[in-house]
Amino acid sequence: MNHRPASPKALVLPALLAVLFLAQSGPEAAAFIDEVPSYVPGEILVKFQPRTPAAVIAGVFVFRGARAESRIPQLDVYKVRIPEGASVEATVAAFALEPSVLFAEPNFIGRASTTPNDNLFKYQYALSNTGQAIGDVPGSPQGKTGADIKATQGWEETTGSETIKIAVVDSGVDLTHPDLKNKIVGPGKDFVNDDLNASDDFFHGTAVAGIAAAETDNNEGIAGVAWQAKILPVKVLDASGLGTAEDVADGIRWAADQGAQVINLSLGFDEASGTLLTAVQYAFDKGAVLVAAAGSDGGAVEYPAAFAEYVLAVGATDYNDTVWELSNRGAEVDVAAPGVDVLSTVPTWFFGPTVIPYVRFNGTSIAAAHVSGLAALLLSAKPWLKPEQVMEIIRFSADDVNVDGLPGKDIMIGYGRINLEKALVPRRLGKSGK
Amino acid sequence: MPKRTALFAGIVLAALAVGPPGAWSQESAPSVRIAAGVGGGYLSHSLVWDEKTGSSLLNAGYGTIRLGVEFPQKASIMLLAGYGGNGWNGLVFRGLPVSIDYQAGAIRAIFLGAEIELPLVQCGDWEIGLGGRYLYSIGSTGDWTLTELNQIGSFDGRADWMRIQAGPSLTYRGFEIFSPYAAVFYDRLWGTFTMNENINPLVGTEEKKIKGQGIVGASLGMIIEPGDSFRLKTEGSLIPFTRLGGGLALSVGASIQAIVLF
Repeated sequence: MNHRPASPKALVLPALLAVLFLAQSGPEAAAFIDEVPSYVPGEILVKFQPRTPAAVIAGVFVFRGARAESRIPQLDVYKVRIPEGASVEATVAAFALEPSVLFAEPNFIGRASTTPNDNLFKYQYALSNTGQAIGDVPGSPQGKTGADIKATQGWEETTGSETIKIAVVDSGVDLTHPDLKNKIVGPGKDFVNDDLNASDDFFHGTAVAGIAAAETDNNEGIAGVAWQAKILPVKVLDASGLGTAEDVADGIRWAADQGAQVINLSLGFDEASGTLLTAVQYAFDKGAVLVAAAGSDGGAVEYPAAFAEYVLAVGATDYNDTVWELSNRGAEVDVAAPGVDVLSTVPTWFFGPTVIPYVRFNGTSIAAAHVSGLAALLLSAKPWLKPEQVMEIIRFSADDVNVDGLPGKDIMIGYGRINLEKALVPRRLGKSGK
Repeated sequence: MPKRTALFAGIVLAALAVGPPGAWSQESAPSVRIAAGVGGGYLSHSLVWDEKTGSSLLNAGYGTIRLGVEFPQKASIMLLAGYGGNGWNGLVFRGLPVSIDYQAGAIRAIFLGAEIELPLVQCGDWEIGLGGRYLYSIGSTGDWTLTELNQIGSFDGRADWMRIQAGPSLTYRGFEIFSPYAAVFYDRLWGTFTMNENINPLVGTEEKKIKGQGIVGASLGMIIEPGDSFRLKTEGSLIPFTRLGGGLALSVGASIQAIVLF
């Protein structure tokens, strides 16, 4: 490995942020906040008093202009189709007035406990790809069902733990963002301005933090990969998205000293810095899992991702599980994760108060944040795992989504696109031996 | 096994081993006879593991040969040894680097045990007695392969368990050939399943402590004695328990044995 010192001013973000969709307008943003209905329209559930004659029940239905569609015999509850144009609330109230009716209620819609209620979750194909439209305008591409990281399946096993801290060593984090403020363990540290306030004056760190651990199941915004994990903001990149090897190394060192179990490094240097290597060795030896973006200019894997022994290098795929063309390549790539048109948080100042602070991003930075979230989930479930074990589990559980062209581990996506279900949920050990 | 449970079981078994009470010794006493035979058993017993973090079923089936002695008034001590299998499907190992849901079916095992029966009081055609059983299953080592990851994983594991049952029984002796009986019993089942994982370079070992759910059960059985030298005994048992998620459920068991007396 080449350990030449890095240039004083490191190449960082322009390539990692290949596309930032700034086209959100007020009306389009409003489309993000529509509500899932809480009950099935046009039908209600009714239970009559015990021993109510069938003729009385039929009479009530006729009188109310309703029709019994089905009945759960063991519970003696009817599903009732209400008259065309009638409101569910009014019909429920009318049925409730009948002396023979024990109760009447809307047919409420529930949801699996591991599907978060965040109102933008349906746009997060990376977590759950149902074949939804990826863009917000007519003609937007459509995702391939199942081309995701199997987040909902993985959350069946764990949604994480508040004891796990993900250090976002980046441009800082918007400490006031509604989807992040409750997840941040403190103001963090700013190595650029040398103070104890790691607010984000760029936007990149805020986006990374949202992917990894946005507040989840809070009826607002997006879901993070690690629902319960905390975010430790560490600012090492300036307002232009640039940072020095010295600051990045010191930020990694500080994060490790603060007890961060996962350190996300969505940044890159073209050259191998001995200072940077020393820092990642230090953090690794302190028990931190380090995850880094491979780079987003289609070139060679950048550093620190290329420090293969200590860092998971992450490439990017898209909503079809296709390798992103600008994902950097090389033998150091371990795994990939979605990194094209991925919705995440931006600082509240970015668009101003009239637009909700979320936008779609491209880049291996975003892909790396998914992997950091998975590492946090693994450590939540198994805090005794060593960093190298977490890295191996993430590698071995990935889906080889480009198996047709490049079977096995390859230079584009390593072992494949990460799979939370295979990494977290107990694997079925069947009759394969004696 | 808790020390208190072991002590209780020990006292019961020791009491049973002391021999018939004085009331029996006043009657005519046939000589001690050798008893030999075969038997079989099945149990589907609910288990909890790791401080009640999960539950699954132990499904065990086995055949045994039996040898023992029968004292006057049908008090008896039998030793048994046999072979069979233990099904552990549903046992989940989350203490390994890659968690495993065991669904590989039965693992072969050797079974060793002992049974003691002691009639205590006879009131007309009704007989009250005490009984105790100990069963020890020594599992063989199974090995399995996991192929769904990017690195093939190999696993091996083995499980041992033991069970103690003891309690009173009520037998109706009014029929000539067969005698129905009912019993309630204290039941304790415990053991370990050790699983080794090797997904190179990931390695790990998890020893899962298992414990039977429910501590009191009831059984119904029938003793068929067509002659003085042959006895067939069948039995079915139920052990109620509360599921981890709430609600009552039952573990079940059944056994049969054919004994020739010399």
